[in-house]
Amino acid sequence: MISVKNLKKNYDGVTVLNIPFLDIKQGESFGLVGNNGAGKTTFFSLILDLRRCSEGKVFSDNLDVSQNEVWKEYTGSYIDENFLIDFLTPDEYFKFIAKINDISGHDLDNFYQRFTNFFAGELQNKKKYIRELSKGNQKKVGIAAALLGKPRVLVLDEPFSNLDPTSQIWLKNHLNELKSNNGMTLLISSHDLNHVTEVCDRIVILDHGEIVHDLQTSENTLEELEAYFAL
Amino acid sequence: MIRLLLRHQWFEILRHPSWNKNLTANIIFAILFLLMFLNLLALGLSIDKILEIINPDKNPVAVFNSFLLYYFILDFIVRLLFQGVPSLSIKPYLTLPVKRRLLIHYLLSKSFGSLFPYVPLLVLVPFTTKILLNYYSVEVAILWLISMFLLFHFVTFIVCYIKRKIVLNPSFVVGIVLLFVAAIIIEQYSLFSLSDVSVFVFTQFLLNPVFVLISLLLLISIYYLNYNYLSSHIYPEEFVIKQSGKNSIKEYEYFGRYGEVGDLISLELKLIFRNKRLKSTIYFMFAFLILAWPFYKYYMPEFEGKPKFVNYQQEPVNKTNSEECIVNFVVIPEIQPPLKQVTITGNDIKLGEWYPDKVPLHLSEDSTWTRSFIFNKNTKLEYKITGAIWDNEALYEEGIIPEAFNLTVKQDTTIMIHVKTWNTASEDVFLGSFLLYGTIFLVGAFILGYGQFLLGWEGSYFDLLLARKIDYTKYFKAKFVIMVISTLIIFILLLPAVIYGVTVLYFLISTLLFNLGFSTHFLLFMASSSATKMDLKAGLFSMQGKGGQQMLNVLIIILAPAIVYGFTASKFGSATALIIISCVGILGIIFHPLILNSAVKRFIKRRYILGAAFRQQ
Repeated sequence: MISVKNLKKNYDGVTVLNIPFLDIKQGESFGLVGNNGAGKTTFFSLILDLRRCSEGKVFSDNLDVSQNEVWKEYTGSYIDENFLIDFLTPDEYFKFIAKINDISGHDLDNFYQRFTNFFAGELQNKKKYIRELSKGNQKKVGIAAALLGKPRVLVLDEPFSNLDPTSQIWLKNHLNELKSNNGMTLLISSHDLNHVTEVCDRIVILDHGEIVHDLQTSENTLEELEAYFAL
Repeated sequence: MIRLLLRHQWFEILRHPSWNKNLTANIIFAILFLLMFLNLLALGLSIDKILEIINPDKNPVAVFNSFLLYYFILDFIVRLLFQGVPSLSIKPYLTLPVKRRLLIHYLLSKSFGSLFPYVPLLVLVPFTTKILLNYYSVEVAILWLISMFLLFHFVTFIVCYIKRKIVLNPSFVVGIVLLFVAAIIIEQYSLFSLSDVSVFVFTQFLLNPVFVLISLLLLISIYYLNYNYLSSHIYPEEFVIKQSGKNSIKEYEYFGRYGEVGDLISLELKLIFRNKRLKSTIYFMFAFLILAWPFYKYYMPEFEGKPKFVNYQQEPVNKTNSEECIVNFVVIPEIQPPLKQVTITGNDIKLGEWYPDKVPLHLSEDSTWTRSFIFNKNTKLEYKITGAIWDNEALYEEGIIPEAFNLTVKQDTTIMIHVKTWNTASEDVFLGSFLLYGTIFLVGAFILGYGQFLLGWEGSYFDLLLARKIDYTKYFKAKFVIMVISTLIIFILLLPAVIYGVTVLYFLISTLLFNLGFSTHFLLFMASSSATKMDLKAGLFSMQGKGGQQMLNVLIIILAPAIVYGFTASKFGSATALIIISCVGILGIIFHPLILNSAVKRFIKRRYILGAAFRQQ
């Protein structure tokens, strides 16, 4: 579904990301772990065509993401607050996202039903602008908007941070459900090794911009990861 | 401790992000600042002459004092709108072992740094040295100056207090402005004179220099009122400037029916009306439009060459004794002069002493112009006939301006003058350029304020625009539509200024076309050039995000047409010049899809650079 060839990103002559080859299959759930500065966000930004690749290309459904915009129709994403329009209320924001994705009012109602528990009565029908929400609630808005319309590909950067425990567990279950029922391709990054092993079938460890481990999740994965990251 | 706090204060100024701009931008701002400074200083230095012009018969000190109360009220209104109230900067210190009392004083003392009380000194100090010292002793003058200075600070703190304590909704400000306007109107009809009160109050400060203590007392009490308020509301959530609690969730549904462009327009409208910086831009724009009235009222008649008749009174024609003779002038023009007014002017005081606009003739039913005068016998007269200005002198043979007529008064006479045509005025090209420049500024008030930073306003959610399925052509179209609508609204609001001359209409229409066709497209095209994120929470006059590139865009939009006008008008006349300006606009409108496309292409090309810049800030 997503494949990367000879991908390099340089800043001022320093290579911050170097991935010769990576292929993420349709329906695969792909977890990216790594310490601060490993290049996780850079990698996701390149997949979403937010930054220019210094070398190489990113393909989504065999099409170069920087040359066409077809991928935007089936890709949901949330990286950070730069995805939020902070002077809208959450309802207005969802409505806006639904409109640009041609999602009908009926589907929007379904969406609210799906997320009732996640929103915990704090986001729907409230006259608060997104900028007035707590960090955790802002994150919920971003993640929910990324999931709006059940995209075929979902890219989330550290979705579990800032969320309360209930929401973390809910989100984990919801992602697993979407994976098995809808065959959604999932790309998430996380600092929380527990969560990422529970959601992802495949985990890649990134260190200083390079892939150092590419694991299929098994019972021992968590221990392997902990062993890797322990000093 | 105080020293440490002051040091931090110094760092805050020194490390303010607005210094981190490129050199050109800083130089441009320095020049603008210097210009403003010099303007005020010039006003201050010529204060004696200005006061004499305003009222030559009155004592200049009284004239000055009569304006002071008005100034204080105006100052109060302006500051309610624009003066900042230091609030959150002490937050990091609250959990440290620092005495709260000290922190409050620190917070309050920041207000002494407000620029507002210092600006009027540029006028007050010259007034004191040039005028006040002629009437009062040095001590009195200095004490008066100090009193005024303390009162300006008093206004600072009263505004701080109000802003901290109550929710400042627009109707409150509008109410005060209306009261102010009402006071001026009442003054005009001499029902109640605020300026008399002003004279009375501020003269007391000169008669009893001890009154400086009253100023001091006022300042101290308002300071302690602020202090008390803050000490009982020390938690940051309590003393931030109050905002009205209700959020607007207006949907701008109307545009929803226009598909994706409509959705993007309503998003943009929310952006404008829900963010302080853009909202205050709109308020400021409407305030700015008021300037159109004095602007056109003052300059348009001069441009159109309208005569300003002074001291004209119709004198009765009464023959009292035989030494006086009646001279009756009858002017029979083949065509009427451009300004539809015929005047006589000549060497005698009754003929206006060669002022062409002092002595109008009266139009009779048979389209001749007549007027009778009484002169003493043997008065030697020289006179000419004009169309109320020297540029429109009467011509007998085409192209030749005749010498003045001579007449020695011997008996009652009627003089018939046949006028073939009128000299046409050479237009004041410079004044026309200036009028066009002003009109572009007025009609473009919104697009110049908003359009400079078309993308920068949306810097905070730029990644969403890149990662989501948004049609960039429609995205740019939405911005275009907003600029068009706002320009049309301003155009309609300015239309009543046509009362100052039909030429206003020509200027407005060609400016409208120019702004719709050229300015909007130019700004759309240049939008991708400036990659500065605009902080939507900043104040109206904040320099945040403003750089040389945008300044250049604005200069091109306001200066280019004025220069083009200047060149063409001097060769082919004002009408042709305005038509050319309009044609530029019409061309832009015709090629709208083409320009929009190239603007979008440029945007797509530069999207990574823009995204990186917006993300970083």
